[in-house]
Amino acid sequence: MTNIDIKSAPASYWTSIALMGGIFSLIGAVLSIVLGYVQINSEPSGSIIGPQAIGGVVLCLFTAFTGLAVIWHYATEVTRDITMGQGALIGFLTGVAVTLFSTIFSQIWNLIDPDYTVKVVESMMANMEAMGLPDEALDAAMDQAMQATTFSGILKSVLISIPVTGILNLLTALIGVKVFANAPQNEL
Amino acid sequence: MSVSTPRLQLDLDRRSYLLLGGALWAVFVLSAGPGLYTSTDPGSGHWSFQLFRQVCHAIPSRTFHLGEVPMAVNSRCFGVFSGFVVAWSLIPQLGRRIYRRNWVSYLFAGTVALQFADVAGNAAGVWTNTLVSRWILGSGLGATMVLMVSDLLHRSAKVRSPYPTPTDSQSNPEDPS
Repeated sequence: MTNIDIKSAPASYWTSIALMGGIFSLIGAVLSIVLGYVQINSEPSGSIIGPQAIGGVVLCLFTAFTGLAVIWHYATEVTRDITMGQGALIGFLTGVAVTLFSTIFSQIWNLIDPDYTVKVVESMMANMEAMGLPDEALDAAMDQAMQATTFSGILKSVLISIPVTGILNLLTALIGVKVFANAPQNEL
Repeated sequence: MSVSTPRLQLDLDRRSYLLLGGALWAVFVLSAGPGLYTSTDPGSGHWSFQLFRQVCHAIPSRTFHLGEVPMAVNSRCFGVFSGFVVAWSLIPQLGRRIYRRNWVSYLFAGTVALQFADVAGNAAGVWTNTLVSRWILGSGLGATMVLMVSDLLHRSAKVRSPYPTPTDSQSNPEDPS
């Protein structure tokens, strides 16, 4: 009887990125949409700190710490032997995935409720009017908000926000490597 | 009779240190926003604000200003990025003192908890945080995040004195280390 040494192929981290990135992006998108409706249905307060802005405090944590969650999932389900380089790569790719998923989820909601974005923008404009901003500033803000809803505006926004989201998730993924992976055998 | 205690020797992975450090410095500088090179506010559609769109709400009233121009991130996030670069610069000096020390993890957990406590206390009206207080708390979080990953940048070895004492040879004569 012959012993055959079978080396399994390195397990893919894409499942962890897709799963945790999807879950965190979905939670973030749902929270953002709910807060958007709260904003739409609230009276203009004249304060720039609206419901969406307050929710932003929580959303940024969801976005930045997804890298940590992905490493946790990968270490739990696949292997605890994760090098620093692998952790960094997984973290950056997580940032890319979170940016893409968040945009896709929010665009899907725009298909379900096509008036959602326009209502949010109108609500924000009403709020800014209540703050007493000059007409020029309001027009510029309206133009920028509507430009961001076009296909080219969305694409530009996605591409430009990937680097920072990627670097932050890279760092949190490295924290995940420190916490969840085996201590590296990196003796001199 | 003297005993030579193994001494921890650390070797910094310079390539990774410089590469990641460069990325963190870039994030820090860009987070200062367009006020670095212009005196008029270009509006929230400017690319420097779009860079941080996913990670920071950047409400102008909660943001430091350079002249008349708000930074691209709020004061807490700017504190986080400030903490990144300061702590990253100190890694070569701090190496041995923080290498595989549990208190670094506790410090990190503590600074995360402080952010939640500060946001909750402010929202509940228990206290009112300020631009500076948020910046200081954010700096603590950013610095401890970097200290957490410091271990990964080092290779280590336990080295003994080249002059073995009698105790060393008696305790384990076959151990060359």
